[in-house]
Amino acid sequence: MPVAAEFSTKSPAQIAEELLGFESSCVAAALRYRASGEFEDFSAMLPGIIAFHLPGSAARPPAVLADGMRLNQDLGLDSLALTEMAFMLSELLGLSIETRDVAGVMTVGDLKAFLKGRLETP
Amino acid sequence: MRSLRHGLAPWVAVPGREVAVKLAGLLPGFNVGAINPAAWSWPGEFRIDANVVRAMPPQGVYALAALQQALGEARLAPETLSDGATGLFCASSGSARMLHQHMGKLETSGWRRAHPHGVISSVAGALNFHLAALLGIRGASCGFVSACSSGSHALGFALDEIRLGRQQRMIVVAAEDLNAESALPFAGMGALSAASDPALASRPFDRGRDGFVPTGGAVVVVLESESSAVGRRARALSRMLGWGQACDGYHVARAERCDAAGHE
Repeated sequence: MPVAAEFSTKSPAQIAEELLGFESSCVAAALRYRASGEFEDFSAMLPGIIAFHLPGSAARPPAVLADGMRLNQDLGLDSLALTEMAFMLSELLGLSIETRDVAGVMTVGDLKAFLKGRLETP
Repeated sequence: MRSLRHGLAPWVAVPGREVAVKLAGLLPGFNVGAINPAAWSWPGEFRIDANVVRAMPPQGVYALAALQQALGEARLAPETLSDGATGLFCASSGSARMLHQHMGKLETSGWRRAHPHGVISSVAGALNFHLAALLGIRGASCGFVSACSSGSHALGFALDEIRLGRQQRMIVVAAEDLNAESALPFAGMGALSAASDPALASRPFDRGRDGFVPTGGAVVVVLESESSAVGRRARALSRMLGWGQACDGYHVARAERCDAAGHE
């Protein structure tokens, strides 16, 4: 899988700056994905991305996310947080992700499938 | 104040640019100047969740720090805040900086992509609804925006809220941020001091005064009915006897009218 075009032009320092405040494992996964283009590396960013966008009252998500986990009921992502996450991913990767595009994303598996599709066909 | 100690210090409003304003009132240990809230920091004594402030205007950090101090001093338990007898009034004009940044990004995206926090981090009521949600307020909640009078209005109407029997206690918050967007427009009115000596800059009653010095920060007051305060053995710091308001209907900023019309 090719690395998202705009993402591939960003330096590691730029990526680390854009991911300021994210868990170090998330930043490390982003840099691995930049080098490898493997979706597995991209997926490894998701726990950290979800943790960053959780409302303050939500519990920290597990390090490994099962595909069946529901973003709202199981992990605590509300609709505003999901929208913010979509905005952040579109900025980071340089992909066009509209709010309505993620309206049907309910589970971790949905999110992975949606992002994989966007990365394969920007 | 009695010893004439102040918190004014040299201030760089826009890094790398020479601007007319050289001084500001600064809060040591707080850094909320970055565009990205993830880069904000505050003294370790304040228990502030970075996930909570991420969607707030910068002054939300100041307000949370002042809230921690005020609620601790008042010994108000978290469950008391949600008892319906406790209200929250906030005075804050929103954040010109956050609005500026978000609108700039929206424009460069061809007016297609707006940040989800564009509204809730910048509008005038931002502090009010963020803090009400965070504290679990179920009583009255309202925001006040009347420029330099905002905090006084919030406190005055909070007293009314208690005297009318609507609430037993009111948490009154006033907070503003300090940055180029919040301060420099005042220089355009000729309202800010151009002094570079902190000891000589703020002289409101001096013949040689040349304007005020900008600052950011927050203050929180817990206002409570006497019966409620006595009932929970709270230590009162002062008593609010009353308030009133009037306007001279004269000018948006000038105060030269000396006949005190409207203020009798």
